[in-house]
Amino acid sequence: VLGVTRRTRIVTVFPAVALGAHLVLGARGSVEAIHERHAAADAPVTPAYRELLEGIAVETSTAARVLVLTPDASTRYLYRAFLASSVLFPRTVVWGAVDPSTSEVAWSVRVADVRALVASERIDVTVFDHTREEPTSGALAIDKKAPGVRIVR
Amino acid sequence: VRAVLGAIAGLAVILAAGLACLDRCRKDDRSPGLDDLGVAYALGAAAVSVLMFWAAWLGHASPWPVLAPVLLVVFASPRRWIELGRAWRASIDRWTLVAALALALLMAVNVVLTRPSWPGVDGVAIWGFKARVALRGEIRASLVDPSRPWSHPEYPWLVPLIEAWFELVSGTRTESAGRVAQMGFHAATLLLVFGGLRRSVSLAWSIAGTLALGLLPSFVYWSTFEDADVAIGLAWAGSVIHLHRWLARGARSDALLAALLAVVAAWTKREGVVALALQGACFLAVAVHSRRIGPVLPIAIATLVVLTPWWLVISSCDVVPRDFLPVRIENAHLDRLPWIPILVGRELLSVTHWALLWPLVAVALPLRWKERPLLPRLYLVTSATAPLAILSGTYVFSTWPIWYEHVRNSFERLALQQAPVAVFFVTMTLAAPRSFMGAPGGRDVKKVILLVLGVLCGVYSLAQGAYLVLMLMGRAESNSTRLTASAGILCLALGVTLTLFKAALRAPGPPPGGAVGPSNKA
Repeated sequence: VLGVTRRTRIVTVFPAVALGAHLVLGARGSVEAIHERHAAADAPVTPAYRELLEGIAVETSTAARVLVLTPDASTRYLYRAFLASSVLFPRTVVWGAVDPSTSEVAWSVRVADVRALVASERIDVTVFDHTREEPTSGALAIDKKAPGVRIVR
Repeated sequence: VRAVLGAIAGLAVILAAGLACLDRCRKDDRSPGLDDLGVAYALGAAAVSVLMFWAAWLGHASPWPVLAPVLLVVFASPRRWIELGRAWRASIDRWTLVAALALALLMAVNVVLTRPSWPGVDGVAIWGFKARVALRGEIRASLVDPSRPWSHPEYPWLVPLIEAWFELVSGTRTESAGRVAQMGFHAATLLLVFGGLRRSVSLAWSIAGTLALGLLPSFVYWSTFEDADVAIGLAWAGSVIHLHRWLARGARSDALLAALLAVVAAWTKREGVVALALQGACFLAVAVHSRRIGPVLPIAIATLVVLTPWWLVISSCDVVPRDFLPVRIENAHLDRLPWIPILVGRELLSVTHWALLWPLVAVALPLRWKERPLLPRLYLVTSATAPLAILSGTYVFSTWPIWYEHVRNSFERLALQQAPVAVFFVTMTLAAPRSFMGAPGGRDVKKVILLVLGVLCGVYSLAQGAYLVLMLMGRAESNSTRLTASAGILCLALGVTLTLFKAALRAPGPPPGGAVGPSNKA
């Protein structure tokens, strides 16, 4: 009789306790998730950058080839390069970076010599996104100046 | 102001299209509920996106190809809409309304707290890109463009075209329109789960179940990105709930809605094909059992009308998926099999992502075992577990150089697609525990738990054995440490499997007369 009573109690209490524990842990995890989302909310694209890309789309033919150069391939620049590729469709967009090793998937190329890349890829427009070309060596270097984007046609 | 009014108008058109579809499908006397709003949003989004796809394919990027048929349907039968409104008012009680408002509040808090404009990389590179392309009428060009493989040309178009729809009606040209669509999918999923539960269990359990989904950290987190996983979760959950109800009640409208929503899942993301295949198999099983072709017709016709043209389009454009090799035995990396359950298990047991959801599913499985009748029980157990098992298995075809990074990157979102069904399943089971555990044959549960664990361990032993054989044959990377460790783990797994089976056979069975589960409660 004792066993049956205990089992009946467990059967009655278990679902409520299990779901209650899930709700408490879930609420705590949700708050953490929202915090994490806030931490990543640094809006990597400004309206000015978007306007600049739309300007290139208006001014160039659909056959133009565009090179976007960024310091690295971190999520921030991944986002900016993909946005460039999206806005400039159907133009071919090549993405190069000073250090592309930060990305898990290799979508960008390591740029040693900007002029050589422009020549080999037959580039019409180059977007220097927080980067610059070293005048003497032609190497790609990081440029932290605001607004950080320069176009070379 | 225009953006807000446009978003409201866009939502209204989607719901009107969905409610019109729902009304055509449902000819029985079932009273409307909040789950209908969730189903209507999924059906409406599918209808709007299909219309927009073919308009954009022909080079038209305007709202009229969508608005014209929807307005025609709405104004063709105004009396029917008035009747529907009356039925709604009559069916919704005060507490249901309060619960709906609480749900809206929960969602509003989520939206306000996670307001950032950042839609996630996929939101730009896949869905946002496709929306842009559709608005310019360049869908075909995007499918044959080899320079943008990251845009996943093989993915279907529901989510990007709903974003494009909101961009069209609100006049914005940024990915923020996609967030509106995403909020719609989020709210629709909560309404679907609440309404679906409300038809079977008490109000308190319905609210608890909905909160169990609404407070799921992964659900909260990914709902604020622009992605397709919440949308496919909505369609899949809708399909499962309706098919389960059809198996339990037999109303044809439920079968029709289950078929349509399975097709919507496949039109949302590639993984939806698994859902479609499972539902198709279920319809086929019923058709074979009853020796009638009727049960298979809705899903076959909907697939033929909605999906086949799209599949023909991608095959004509030679679109090849980038992340996976073609599903052929010679492409399968079988040496990954022992590791996949470990990686997947680690994710599913992550309390910071899932709280206790998946452990509760594991607990609910044997409890569900005793439910009668057989078919709905088997179906619900299968739909809560099989898709995740099948999708986990696809990682043997992953093309990623570090394949376990692929699992780490994407499996959480695959599990998210199954989360609404899992919550529905767990709540339905926990809400009626006495029927399952307190029945005279309650001891049978112990036997079933041991058997389930034994089968799981057995499957793991088989995978580990296959890995060991592959290492010995030189088809998997090996060294002496790996060989020893693998052999040790195999012995241990076999030992545990045998012990579990032995214990299961020794456990006392049900007394004469057997247990009686809830008949059609589920």
